[in-house]
Amino acid sequence: MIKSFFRNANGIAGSIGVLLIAAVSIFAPSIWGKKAHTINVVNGDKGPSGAHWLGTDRLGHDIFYQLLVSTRLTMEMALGATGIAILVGIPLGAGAALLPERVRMIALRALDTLIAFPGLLIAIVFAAVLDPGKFSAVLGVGIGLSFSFARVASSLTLAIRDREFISAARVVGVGRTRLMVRHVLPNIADSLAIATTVSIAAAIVTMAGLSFLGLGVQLPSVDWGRMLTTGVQSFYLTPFAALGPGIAIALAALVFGFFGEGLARAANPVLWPGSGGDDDSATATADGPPTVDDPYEPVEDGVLDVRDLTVSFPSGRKRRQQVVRGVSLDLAPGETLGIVGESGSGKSLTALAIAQLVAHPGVVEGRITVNGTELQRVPLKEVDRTLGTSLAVVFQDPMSSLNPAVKIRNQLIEGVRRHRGLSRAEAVLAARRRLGEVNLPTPERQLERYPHELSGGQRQRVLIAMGLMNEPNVLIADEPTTALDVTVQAQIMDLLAGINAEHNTAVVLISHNLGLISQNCDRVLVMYAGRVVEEVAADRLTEAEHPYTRALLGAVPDMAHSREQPLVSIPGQMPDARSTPVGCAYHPRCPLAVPRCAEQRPPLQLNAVGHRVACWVANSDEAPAGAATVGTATSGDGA
Amino acid sequence: MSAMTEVSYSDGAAPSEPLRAPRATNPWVAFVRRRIISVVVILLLLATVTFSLVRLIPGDPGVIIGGTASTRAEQMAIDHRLGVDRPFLTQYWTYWSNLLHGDLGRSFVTNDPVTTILKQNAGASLQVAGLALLLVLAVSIPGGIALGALTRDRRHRHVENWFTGIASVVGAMPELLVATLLAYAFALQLKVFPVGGTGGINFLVLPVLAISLRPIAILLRLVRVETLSALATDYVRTARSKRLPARTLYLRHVLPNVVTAALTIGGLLFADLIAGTVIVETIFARRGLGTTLVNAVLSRDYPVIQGMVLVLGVAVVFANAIVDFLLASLDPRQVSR
Amino acid sequence: MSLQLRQLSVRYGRGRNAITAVDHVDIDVPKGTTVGLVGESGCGKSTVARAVIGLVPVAGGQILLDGKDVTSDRARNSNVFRRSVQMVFQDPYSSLNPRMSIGSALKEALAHGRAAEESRRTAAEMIELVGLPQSALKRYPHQLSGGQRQRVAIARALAVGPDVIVLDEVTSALDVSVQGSVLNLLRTLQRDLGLTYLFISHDLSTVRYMSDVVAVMYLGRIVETTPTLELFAAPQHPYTVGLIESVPRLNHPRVRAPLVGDLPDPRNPPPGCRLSPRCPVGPIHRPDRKICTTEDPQAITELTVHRTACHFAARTAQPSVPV
Repeated sequence: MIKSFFRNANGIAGSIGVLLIAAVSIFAPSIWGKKAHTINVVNGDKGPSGAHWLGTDRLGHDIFYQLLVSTRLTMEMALGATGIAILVGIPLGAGAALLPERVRMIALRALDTLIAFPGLLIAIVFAAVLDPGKFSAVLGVGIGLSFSFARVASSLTLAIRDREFISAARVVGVGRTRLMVRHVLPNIADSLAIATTVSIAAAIVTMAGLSFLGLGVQLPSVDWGRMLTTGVQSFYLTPFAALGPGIAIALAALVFGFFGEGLARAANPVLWPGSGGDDDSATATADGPPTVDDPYEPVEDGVLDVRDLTVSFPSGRKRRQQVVRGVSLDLAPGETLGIVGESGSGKSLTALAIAQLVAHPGVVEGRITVNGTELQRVPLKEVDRTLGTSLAVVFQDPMSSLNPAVKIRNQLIEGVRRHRGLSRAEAVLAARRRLGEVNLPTPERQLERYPHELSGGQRQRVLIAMGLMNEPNVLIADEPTTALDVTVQAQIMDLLAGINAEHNTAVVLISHNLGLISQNCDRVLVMYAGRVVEEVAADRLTEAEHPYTRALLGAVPDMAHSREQPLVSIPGQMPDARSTPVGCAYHPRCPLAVPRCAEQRPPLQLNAVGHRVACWVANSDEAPAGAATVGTATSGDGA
Repeated sequence: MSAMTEVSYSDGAAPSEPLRAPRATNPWVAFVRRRIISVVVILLLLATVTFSLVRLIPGDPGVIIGGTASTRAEQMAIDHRLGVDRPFLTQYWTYWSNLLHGDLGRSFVTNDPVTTILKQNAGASLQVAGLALLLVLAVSIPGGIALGALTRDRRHRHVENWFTGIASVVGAMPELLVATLLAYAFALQLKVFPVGGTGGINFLVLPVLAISLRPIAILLRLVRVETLSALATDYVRTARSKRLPARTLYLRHVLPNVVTAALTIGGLLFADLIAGTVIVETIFARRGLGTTLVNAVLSRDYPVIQGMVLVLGVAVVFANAIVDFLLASLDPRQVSR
Repeated sequence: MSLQLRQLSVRYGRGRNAITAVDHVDIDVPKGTTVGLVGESGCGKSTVARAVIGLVPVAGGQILLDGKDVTSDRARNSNVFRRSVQMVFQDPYSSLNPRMSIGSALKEALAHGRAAEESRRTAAEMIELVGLPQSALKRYPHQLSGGQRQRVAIARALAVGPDVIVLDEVTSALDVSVQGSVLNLLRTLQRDLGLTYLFISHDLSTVRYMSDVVAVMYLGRIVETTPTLELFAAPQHPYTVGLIESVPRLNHPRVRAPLVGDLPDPRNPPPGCRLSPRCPVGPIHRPDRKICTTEDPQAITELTVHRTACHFAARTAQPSVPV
C-alpha cells in the first residue's frame, strides 16, 4: 500500500511537497524568525538581490524569509478551516443521507444550494458578525467549505449503503463498529482524501482573498495572503513581492492536489503495482510452426465475407497482442450464423471489427467484404455508406444503448436521413412502420418518448427497429437477449426469426447460450481465445467434436441433463491475450491433450460437409473413443 | 380496469404500458412543484439567516458598532435603529413586513436607503459576473469537447499531459494574482487596456478575464473528461454503428450529455465568479457590489451588509433554479426523479 | 435444519409508490434438501432471500427455523441465527470487499474469540474445502477470476458454520465453463455437510438440476410449488408452462413465445389473477374466462405438496406447438 503510494509520480511529488511545507511550518519561525521580522525602512521596496532573494517590502522586511516564516500561520489557518469543514460537514451530510426519503430529498437540495454559496461570501459574513481576524476567517472559511464535505459525505453514504459487500459482511455477523472501520471507511477513504486536500487548497486561496480584502489576518500577524496583498500594492515597483507569495499559494494548492490523488491511489488495492491478477510468466505468446487452415470456399453472392480477421491492442512498448487471431467467416443471404463463446473468446470484438467500431488503439487487419464491397479498398465515405445501409448492429444492453437525452424518433430517423436522403416526414413515416413491424403498439406515441419511459424488452425492439431502418442485408445481434428475461427473450427471438424470414436479412447471432444458438441458427462457430475452434451445423451441435465445445455442452445443465450426473468441470480459465499458450490455446485445460497440442496449433480442418474442427485429437483416427468420454450432455434422460 | 378484458393480442405483441396506472399528473408539474417548494424553503431560511446576522453579534451591537468611545445614548440610538431593543418576535415580524414592502433599511454611513445602494452597484457587478459566465461557458464547452475529441481513445497523450499540467496550475492560481499579472502585462506594459475604473467595454476586459481563467481551467478539464466518458458509452457506439457524420455524432449524441455535466458544476462556478468579482472590483478599483460589501463590513454598516447578503443569496438560489430547469429540459430523466 | 416461510410478505416504499414485493409466500425447505425458487427479474425472489437473511424487514407472516419463530428483526440479526443461516450473493465481485484480502474476509466470518493461529488454520481449511489453493488467502478479490471469487464467497458463508444456505443467483454472473464446477461444488458440500439450500435463480435448467422441489414465483407470489421432476414433466400453471417453453434447448425446435408482453408494474398489479393480461389460456384468448380478472386464484390454493394458483390449472397442460 505504501509502496504503491510512492510508485506514482503524483504521490511522490505530493508527499515531498507536503513534507517540505510541514518542515518549513514547524522549523522556519524559530530559525528565521528574527531575519523575517527585521525592519529596515531605508532598504524598503527593493528588488531581488544576493542578500534578499525575493527583495524587500515597504518596511524593508526580507520577503523570502517572511514567506518561510508565515508558512506556519498560513497552514494553521488552512488546516483549521478544513478541520472545521470536516467536523461540521461529514455529520451533516451523513445525517442528511440517512433521513427518510421525502425529507432527504429536500435536505439534499438545500445542501446543493448551500454549496453554491461562495465560500468567500460566507467568510465575509462571519467577519461582519465577529471581529475580522484569524478566528472569523478560519470559522467562516471552514463553514463555507463544510457544505462540499457534506455533499461528498451524503453521496458516499448513499452509495455505500447499497453496496452488496456491506450486506454480505452483515450476514456473516460483522458488528457495527467493524463494519464501519473495515468495510465502509476503506472504501470511502480515497474520496475523503481527495475532498480533504482539495479543501486545504481552497482554504489557502480563500484565506488569501480574505486577507486582501482586509478581513483576514490582521497586522502584525502575517500570512501568505497578507503578504500577497502588500506585494500587490507595490507590484509595479517590485513584482517579486507579489509573485513570491502568489506562487507559494499556487504551488501549495498544487502540492495538496497531488498528495490527495496519491493518497487515493494508495487506498485502492486495484491500483497497486504488480496486482494485475494473472502472472504472465506462465506462457509465451508465439505460435509453433505455422499451420494452415483449410481453404474457405466463399459462397456465391455472400452478403458478408471475412478473411483472416485479427484485432490487436498494444501491450507494453512496441508490442501488440492479438485478441482476435485470424477469424474467417462468410454469410449467405438470409442465413443465420451463430457465434458461441465465453467472455474473452473474442466473439464480441469480432462483431465490432466487422462493423468497423473497434476504437483506437485497437488495430483491425484482414479482409472484410460487405455486400460485395471490400471495406479496406474503398474510400472512407464509401465504407460509411456501405456499412450504414447494408449492415446493422444490435447490442447487448438495451438500457444503455439508446441515448437517454434524445427522443426515440430522432434516434430512429437519423441513419436513414443520412444514408437514403429521405425527407424528415418520409423518415418519420418509415420509423412508424418499423416500430409496428417489431410489434410495438401505438408507434406514433412511442416515437415521441424518451428511452427511460420504455421497458427493457421495448427498448430492444426499438434497437432492432433502428437496425432495420435502412433495410440492411446483415444484422449483427451481439447477445441481444442476455439482459432480458427468458419470456421476453422468446419474444425477441420470434421477432428476429420473423425479420429473417420476411426480409431475407442475414443474421449473425452472438451468444454464450448454446441452446439459444442451436434453436435459432443455421450454422455455428465456436470461438476460444480469439480463434474459431469449430464450425458445425446448428442442428448437429450436440455432435460437436472439439473437446472445448463438448465441455461447454456439459458444463451447464440443460433441460435434459440427468440430475444424478455431475456437470463437466473445466479446470482453469480462458487465457487472456497476453498469455495465450503455444500450440492449441485450450490444451492446458483439455483432458485429451497429447504432446503435439502443446507444440503446434491445430488448423481448422474440414472433416465432414459443413463441419470443421481445430483439434489434433479429434482430427486423428483414434479420436472418437476419447472424445465421447468428455461430454455427457448428448444423452438426455427425457424430463 | 374492465376495459382490460377487451384487449386482445393477435400475435406476440407487447401491450403498451402493461397495465401501468395512468399518471395522475404530468411529470413536469410535479417537478416544478418540487423545485418551487425547495426554492421557497431555501429563501425562507436565507431571509431568517440574514435577520439573525445582527442578532448574532456577541454582546451589545450598539457598543460594538458605536465603539467604546461612543456615549451610552449613541449606543442606544444604534440599537434602536437596528431594532434590537424590541422583543424578539416583534423584530422578526417587522423584518418580514419591511422585507415584503421592499424596505431594507438605511445605511449607517450615508443614510441612503439600502435598496438605492444596491440598485446603484448591482449593474456593474452583474455585468462582470454575467460576461465572465458567458465567457467561461463559451470557451470551456466547445474547447473541452474539442480536447476530448482530440485525446479520445488515449490519442495524443502529449497534448493530454500538457493540457492537464497547465490546467492544474491555472486552476490553482488565486484571482488576486491573476488580476495583478493581467494588469501588469496588458495595462502597464502593453497599455492595451485601462488599469482600472468603470467605463466602457475596455474597462471590462481585464476584470472579466481575471475571474474567468480559473473557472475556465476547471471546466475545461471537466468537459474533456465528460466528453471522453460520453464517447465511451454504449449509446454513442450505437450512434457510430449508424455511420453518422462526426458533426451529428458530437452535436446530437455527445453535446447534450456533456452540457448536463457542465451545467451541474456551472452553478458552482457562478458562485466562484461572484466571489471573484469581490476581489477584482477591489483590484481594478471598480464600483460594484463587492466593494460595497467590503466597505460595509469594514465600517460595520449592518443594514447594507444584510441587504447585500440577501441579494447575493437570492441571486445564487435563482441561478441554481435556472440551472435545474435547463438540466431537466436537456435530460428528461431528471424530471421524473 | 429446516426452513419454513409462512405467508411471508415484504413491502417497500409508502403511499402511491408502495410495492408489495413478496406477497403471502409459503415455502417449506426440509432439512438436507434443496428448494428452488424460480422467476423472472422483479418477481421478488431476491427479496425473499433478503428477508430470510434479515436484510429487509418482514411486513407479515412468519419465518420458522426448525419450527422456531425467527421472524423478528432481532432474531434474524442475532448471532445464533447467523451461525445457522447464511447466504451467497449473485455477483461475487460486488459481494466481496475490494479493499480486503481473501484471508481477512474469511477470518472475519469465523466466530469471534478464536486464537489468531486457530482462525488462520480454519480459514485455510475453508479455502481448501472450496477447492482453492492456500495462496488465494493473500490475494484481493480483483486478482481472482469470477469462479474463484464465487468459491471464496461460498467459503465465507461456510466459515460461519451454517446449516441452511440461501443461494441467490450464484451462477448467473459466472462464465459458462465455470458454472458447472461451482454447481458441482455446491452439491458435494450439501452431501458432505448435510446442508439445506434455498436455491434462487432465474435459470430453469439450473434450478431443475439443483432442486428437489421447485417454487415458481410471479409478481411477488408463488404460483406453483411441485417436486422438480413432476413440475418439468407436467407443469400445471400456465406461467410455469410458458416459462419452461421459453427456455431455449438443444435438440428441440424453437417454440413461439408463449407469453406476451412484459411484467406489469408491481406497484399496480392487475386485479384477479396477476398473469391474466399475459396468459395464453386466460381472458385475452378466452373471453369467456372472466373469472381470471375478477377472482384472485391465490385464495383457492391449499397447502399441499403440489399446489397451483390458477382457476384453469388442470386444463392448461397442453403440448407446445413447434413453429
